[in-house]
Amino acid sequence: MRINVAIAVAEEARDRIYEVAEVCRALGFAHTSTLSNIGILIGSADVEDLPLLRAIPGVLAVEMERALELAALEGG
Amino acid sequence: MRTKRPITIDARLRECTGRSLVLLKQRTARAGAAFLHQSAGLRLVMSSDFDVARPAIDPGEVLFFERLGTALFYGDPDQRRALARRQAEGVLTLEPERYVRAREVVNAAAGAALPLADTHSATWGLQATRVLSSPYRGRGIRVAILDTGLDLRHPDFAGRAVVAKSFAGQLPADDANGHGTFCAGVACGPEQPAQAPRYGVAPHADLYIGKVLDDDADGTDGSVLAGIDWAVRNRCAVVSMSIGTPVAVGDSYPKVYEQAAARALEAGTLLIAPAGNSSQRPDSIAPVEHPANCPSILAVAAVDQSLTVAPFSNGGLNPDGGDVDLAAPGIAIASASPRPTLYQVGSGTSMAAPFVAGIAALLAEADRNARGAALRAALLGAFLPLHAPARDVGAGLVQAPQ
Repeated sequence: MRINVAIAVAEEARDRIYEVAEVCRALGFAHTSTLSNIGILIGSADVEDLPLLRAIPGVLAVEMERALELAALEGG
Repeated sequence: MRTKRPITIDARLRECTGRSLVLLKQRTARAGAAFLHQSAGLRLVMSSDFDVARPAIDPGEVLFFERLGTALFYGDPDQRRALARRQAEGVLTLEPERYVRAREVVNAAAGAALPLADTHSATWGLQATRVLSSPYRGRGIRVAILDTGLDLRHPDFAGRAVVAKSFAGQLPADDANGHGTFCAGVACGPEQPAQAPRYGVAPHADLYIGKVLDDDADGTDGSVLAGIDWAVRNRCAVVSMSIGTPVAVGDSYPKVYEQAAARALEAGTLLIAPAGNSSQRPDSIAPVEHPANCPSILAVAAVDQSLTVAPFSNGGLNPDGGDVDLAAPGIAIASASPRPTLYQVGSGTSMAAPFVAGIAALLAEADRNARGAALRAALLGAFLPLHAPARDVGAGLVQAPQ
């Protein structure tokens, strides 16, 4: 099953974020955007590949994307 | 074992002529509270000795919250001077930069008749947060609203410098939902709206509208993170994001968001999010939601016109950042609505978070060095203490700089 994920690149690897992204892509990460100001890669991956992605040097965390809601009760 | 070092009380403490309050850090709070008792003649009161309905702390008392590891101190000038003398002797071990805050206790809202109500000139929320008497308007400060967009042709935003970008697929940044226009209105609405009363906190701030949710208010982490990245790149001092997802008791914060928020903070961008609306007080209290549960994101609870915590407002139940930082008005809040309605009234912690964002812009204007962690500290150093547990309202009600 393919899911949308966000990959946080570790602080020490931030200046190599594009290399980290390349390794992620080689391991099945479909890379859609690079948020270089906050060191995060956005894309999708197969659930089975998540342990591999998490093991890449320079990857701090790989998390599934969640749906977000508004925090309003009425009006707004 | 922590190294002992002298207390360095915030310079404002000595300048202050009115009453002051001091927060002590957990590991040293017990010793600090005992010291305040012994050296400054303050009476030590344990929070476990009374329930939450206890009236305000009296002058000359130190109130020690054992479970929170925090103490509050109210003293007169003589007691403060006694404390200042002992400070030179190096007898206290505190973390002054972050945990010792001294501010004049603000009585404007507390002294006003409660419940507050909207008047012809301003909403009750602007009155409660002392925005009307603040000399600041957010001039030169970039505030990002990550939400459903903005009605870019709303008359109250006509002629206003607005930078807008959509992260919600192919949709333009225009708001067909209403939530984003509402939140932008609370944070940055005009000083003189087309129709009274004034509802916006920082009318001169530069608005950065990031549409991260579609018009059905659906969105994902990916678009929100992209919005945060955009705000950081544009050097926005403040990001208001009235969005969330419920978490369970015991859940930790997401590492990706925490990293995003920590890096944003380092770059000078403070993220502000609502605590969430899943509580049904008094029967049940839900924990602060994602992403407000990240340690580096400021979590905002909602209070009503009597400055009582809103029944839906989530509480600080989870460790590691899952606490409430501040409270702000969040019931019966009037703000902007997309045309043709123009105005609407709403309730929720969504409405509370942009009050804090707007006031952050005022603080950033007041002090050009207040960015990132320093801006966060400034916000947490200016509040009206409320008669409610920190679990529900954090430090207290956010207050505009005067």
